[in-house]
Amino acid sequence: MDRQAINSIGRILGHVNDGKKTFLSGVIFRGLERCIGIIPIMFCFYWIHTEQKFGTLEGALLSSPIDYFIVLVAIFVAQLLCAYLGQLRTFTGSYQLTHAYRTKAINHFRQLPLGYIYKAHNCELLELLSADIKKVESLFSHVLPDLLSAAVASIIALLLMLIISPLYALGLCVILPCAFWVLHVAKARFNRAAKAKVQAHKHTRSVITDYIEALCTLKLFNQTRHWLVRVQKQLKTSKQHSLQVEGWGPAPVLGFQVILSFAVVLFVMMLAFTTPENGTAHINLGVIIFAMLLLQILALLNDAAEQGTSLKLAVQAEQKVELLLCEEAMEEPYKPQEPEQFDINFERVSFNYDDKKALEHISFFVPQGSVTAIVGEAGCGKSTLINLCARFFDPQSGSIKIGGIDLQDIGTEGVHNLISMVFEDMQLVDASILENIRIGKPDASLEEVRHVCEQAQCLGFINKLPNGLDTPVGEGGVRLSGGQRQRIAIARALLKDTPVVLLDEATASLDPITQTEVVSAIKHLQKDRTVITVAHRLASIVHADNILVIDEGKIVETGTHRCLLSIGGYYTRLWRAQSQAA
Amino acid sequence: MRYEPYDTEENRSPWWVLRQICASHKVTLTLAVCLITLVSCLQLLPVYLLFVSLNEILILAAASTEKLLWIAAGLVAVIIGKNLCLVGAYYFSHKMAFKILTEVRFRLAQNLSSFSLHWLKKQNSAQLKQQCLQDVEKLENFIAHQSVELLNACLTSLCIVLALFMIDWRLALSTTAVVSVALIVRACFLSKTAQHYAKLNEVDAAFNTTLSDYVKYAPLMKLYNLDSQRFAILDNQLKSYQQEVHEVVKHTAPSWGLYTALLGSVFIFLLPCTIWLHSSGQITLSHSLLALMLAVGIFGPVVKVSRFFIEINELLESIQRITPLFSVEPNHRDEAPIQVNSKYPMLQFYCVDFRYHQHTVLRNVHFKLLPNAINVVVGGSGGGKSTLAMLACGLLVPSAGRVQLYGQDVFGLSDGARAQAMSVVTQESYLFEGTVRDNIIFGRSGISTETLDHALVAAQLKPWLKRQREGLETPVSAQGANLSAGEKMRIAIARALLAAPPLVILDEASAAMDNLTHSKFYQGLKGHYPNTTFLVITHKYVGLENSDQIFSLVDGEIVAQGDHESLLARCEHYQKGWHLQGGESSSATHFTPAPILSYEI
Repeated sequence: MDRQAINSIGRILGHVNDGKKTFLSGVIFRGLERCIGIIPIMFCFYWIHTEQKFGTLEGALLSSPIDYFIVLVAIFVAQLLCAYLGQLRTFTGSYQLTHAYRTKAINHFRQLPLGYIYKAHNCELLELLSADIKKVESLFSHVLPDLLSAAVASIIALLLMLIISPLYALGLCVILPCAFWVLHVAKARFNRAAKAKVQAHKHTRSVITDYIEALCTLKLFNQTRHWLVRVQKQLKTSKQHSLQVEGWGPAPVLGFQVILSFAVVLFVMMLAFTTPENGTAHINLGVIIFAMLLLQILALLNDAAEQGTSLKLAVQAEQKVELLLCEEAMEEPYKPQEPEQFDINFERVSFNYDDKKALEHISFFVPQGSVTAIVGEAGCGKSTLINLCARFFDPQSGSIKIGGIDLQDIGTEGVHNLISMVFEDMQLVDASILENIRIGKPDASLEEVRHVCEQAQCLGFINKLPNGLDTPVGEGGVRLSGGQRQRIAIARALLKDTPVVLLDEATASLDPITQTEVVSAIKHLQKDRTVITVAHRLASIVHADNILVIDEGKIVETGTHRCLLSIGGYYTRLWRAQSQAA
Repeated sequence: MRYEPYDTEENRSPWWVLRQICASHKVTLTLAVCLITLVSCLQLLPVYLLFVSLNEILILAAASTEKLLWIAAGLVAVIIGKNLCLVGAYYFSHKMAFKILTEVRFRLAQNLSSFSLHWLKKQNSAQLKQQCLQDVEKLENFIAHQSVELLNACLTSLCIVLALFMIDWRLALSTTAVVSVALIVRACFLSKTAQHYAKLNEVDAAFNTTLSDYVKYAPLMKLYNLDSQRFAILDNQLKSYQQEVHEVVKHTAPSWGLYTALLGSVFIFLLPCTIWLHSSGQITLSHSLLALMLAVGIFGPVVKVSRFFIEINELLESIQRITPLFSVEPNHRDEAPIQVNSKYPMLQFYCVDFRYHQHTVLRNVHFKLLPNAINVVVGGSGGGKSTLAMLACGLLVPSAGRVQLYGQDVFGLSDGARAQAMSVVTQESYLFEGTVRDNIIFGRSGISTETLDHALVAAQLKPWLKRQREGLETPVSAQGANLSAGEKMRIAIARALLAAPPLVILDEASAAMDNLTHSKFYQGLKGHYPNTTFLVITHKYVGLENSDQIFSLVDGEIVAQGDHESLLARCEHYQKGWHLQGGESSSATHFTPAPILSYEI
C-alpha cells in the first residue's frame, strides 16, 4: 500500500455513494474472521500451559479433548458466520461501488465534447470503460478485502503480543518498519528497471505487430524468411534484456519476506538473553503463544505482500479512468434557446488544440439558404471549422452564432437538432440500410425513407442488393463501397431535414459515374438550406455563393469563384493545379 | 480446394501443449523444481528451530544462552539458504520462461509464414496479434512466477503434512481432513453454481457488446440526438448485469464463506486429536507443540493454491488459443519455379465466380491477359475490381472457376514461385520503419543503381524525391504514417517494379495521383518495362488511351473488352465514365484563370 494506492482508493470512494457502507462492514467482518482465526491458537497455548503447569487436564476449565472440540466448533461457527457475512457484504458492496463508479464514468463520457470522443481512439475508450473498470472492481472485490483483513488481523495479533510480552514484541516492532522500508526501496529500484523493461517490451511488440501486419506483403514478395530472421534477432535481444531486468521482479517481495523472517531470529536471540536470568517459570506463559502468534503474523504479512501486483494493476487502471473523469465536460445552458433564423455567424473565432493553433480570428457570415465553401490544403483547419460549427468544441475566444444566438446558449442538443453533417468517413452502424437511414428520423415511414433514398441516388444500388433496404451493411459498412456509404449518409441527412447542413465532400476518390451520382445527391441536400461545405474538388464549388480560402488557420481570401479567379491569388493557384491535372 | 492443417487440427488438451512447450527445457526445469523442493523443506526448518528453542526453555527447562544463540545462528543460516535457493529457483524459472517466450513467439511467427496467402487474408489480424503477444505473455508469466509459487505452496503443504505424519499419522489425518473437506465443499458448490456463472458470463458478454456499440457509435448518435435512447439501452443492460451479479453473490457467498472458514480452522480436529493422543500417552508434549506450530503454516499455501485455481482458466484459455497455430507442422512447399509453358497463357481467369457471404461479387469473369502489354480493368466502386485483383494474386480463392498463371492455380503457388512470376501493389501495401530505399529494395540483394533508378522514374517518385532533402534516405515511420497516401503508393509501385517480374498487378495504384501524373505514369510504364505484362485495376477512365486491352467491369461482370477506341464506340458505360471525367475538365476551362508563373505541381 503506497501513497498512490491510497490516493486512488480515496478518489474512487469520493466519486461514489452507493455500497461504501456495505463494503466497509464487509471488510470489518472479514477482519473479524481473521481475528477469530487467531483464537484457536490461544487455546493451543492454554492447553500446553495447563499441561505444562499441572501435568494433567483434571480440574482445568476444559478438561477433555471433547471440551476443546466443542469450543473449537463454536469458534468455527463464529468464524463461518463472519466469513459468510464478510464475503456477502464485501462482494455486494464492491459490486455496488463499481457499478456506481462505472455509471459515473459512462455518464461523464456522455457529457464530454464530441471533439474529444472523436479524438480519443474508441478502442481506448472502450478498454477504459470495460477492462479498466473490471480491474477496479477486482481491487474492491478481492485485493482490498484480503489486504485490509490481513492488516486488521496482524494489528490485533501484534497488540496481543504487546500485551503478553512487550519486550519480545518490541523486536517485531523494530523488524516491521525495516521490512516495509526494504519493500519500498526495492520497489523504487525495481520501478526504474521496470521502465526499461516496458521499453523493451514495446519494441518486441511493435516488431511482432509489424510482422503480422506486413505478412501478406512479405509473402507476395517472398521476403518472409528474411523478416523472420529480423523477428528472431529482436526476440533474442529482448530475451537477454528481460533476463537482466526481470530478475528484479520478485526482489521487493522477497526482500520483505527475508527481513520479516529475521523476526524469528530476533525472538530466539531475545529468548537466549532473557531466559537464564529470569528463570523459566516466569516467562514460559507468554513464550509459546508468542511464538505461535509470530508464525501466524508472518504468514499473514507474507501473504499480504504478494497482493502488491494486483494492487498496482488496479491503481494504474484507476488512474486512467480518473483522467477521463477529469476531462472537462461541456457546459450546457440551463434554458436552451431555439433560433428562428438560420444564418451562421463566426465572430473572431480562435481555437487551439492543446498548444497547437488551429484557427485564428476567423470571422465570416453565412446568410440563410446560401452555400459557403471552405477551401485550403490538408491540415489548414477546414475540418476544425466545421467541427466548431457543430459544437464539437467551444472556441477559446470569439463566438459562433446561428440565427443570432450563440451555440453555447442553444446547447449541444439544440445545435445537433439544427444541423446535419455528412463526412468523408460517415459512420454506418452494423445494421440494415433501412435502420441506418432511419437514424436521421427514427419514426420515419417506409415511404419517407424511399423518397430520401431516391433523392440521394441510393435506390439504384439498393434495389440491386439481395434484400433491398433490409440488407445489412456489415461492421462499419464494409459491404458497401465508399460512394454507396456516402449516399446513405446523405439520405440519412435528408431524412433528418435540418435547416443547416455541414458537408465534407470527398468525391475525389470515386469513379466518375458514382461521383456524379453523389454530387447530384448533395445538390438535393443543399437545396433551401444553409450550407457550409469543405471542398476537395474545386469543380464542385464553382457555383457556391461564397468561398473562404483558408491557409494556416486564417482566412486569406473570400469571394465567389469568378471573383477569386480574377484576383489571381492563392485560390487561383489551387484552381490551376486541379484543372491542369484534369 | 486445398485444406489447411490449421482448420482440421483436432483439439488437444492445453496441458499436453504446455508439456510439449516445456519439453526441451528439461534441465532448467529439473533444476528449478529441485531448488523449489529444497526451499519447501527449508521453509519448515525455522519452525522446527523455533520449536527446539521453545522446547529447551519450557519443556526440558534446560536452555543455555549459548545453545539458544547457536539456534539463532542456525536460523539465520537457514533463512539465507532458503532465500538463496528461492532466488535460484526464480532465476531458472525466469530463464526458462524467457526462452519459452522467445521460442513460442518465433514458432508462431514461423508457422504463420507457412500458411497460404488466402488463409492469412481471412484471418483477423487482431486475433493473431493477441495470440502472439498477450497469450504468450500469460504463458511466460505462469512459468516465470506462478509455477514457482504454486509448486512451492503445494510442496510446503505436503511437507507439513509429511512432518505431521512422522509425528503421528492421526495428526496428519486430522489436518488433511479439514483441507479435504474444504476442497470437497468447493468442488460441490462450483458445480452447483456453474450455471449461475454461465449466465453471468452471458450477461457480461451482452453488456460488453452493448457497451462497445455504445462507445463506437456515440459520436454518430450524439449528432442525431439519439444518445439518450442508446444510453437507456446500455443502462438497462448494466442493471441486468448488476442484478445477475447480485444473484451470483447471493448464491456463492455461503459456500465461499464455508470454504474460507474451513481453510482457516485447521485446529478444529488437530487440537482435540493432539490432546487425546497426549493424554493417552501416545505422543509427548514436545511433539504436540511441534505439531501445533507446524499446523499454523498450512493455511497460507493452501489458500495460495486455491487462488491459483481461479486464475488457471485464463491461462488454459490462452494456451488453447495458441494451440492450433502452435502445433501446426510447417509444410515446406516445393519452391520450384513455375515452368513457363507457351501452351498456357500467362494469367487467365476461367469462368470465375466469387461470392462473399452469399453476395455475388464476381460473376463469370473470363479473360486472358495480353502478354507484354498494359491490360486495364476499369469499373465503378463496389463493382468487384479489388476482388478481381486479390484473386489474380492469390489472396482469395475463387468460389467457382479458376485463376491460373501458366496453367497453375495462383492461390496454390509457393511464395517463391509467385514472387518470381509477379509483383503486386495492393491497396494495403505495407511500409515498414526505415528509409525509402529500404522500403523499395525490400531485402532483395543485387540491385544495381540503374535498376533502382529505372523503377523510381517509372513510379513517378523522382520529382518527389528531389524535393526531399535526404532523397532516398528519407525516413519512413511504421506503416508509412509520415507519408501521404499518394507517396506511399508510389513507393509501393517502385518496390513492385524493381524486380521486373513478367507480371505486375497494380490495384488502384494511381488512385491518389492527379490526372496528369496518372497519364504520365501509364505512358512511362510501357516505355520503361516493355517486357512486362501489366494488369492495372482502376476507376479512372482518363489516361487509358494507350492501353492495349481494357476490360469494363460493371457489377461483377465484364461487359466489354477491347482498346480505348473500340470501347468508346461500343460500351455505353465506358463512354459515360470517360465523358464524365473528360467533360468536367472541359467545363472547367470556361473560366480562364489568371496566369501564374511560379506554380508547379
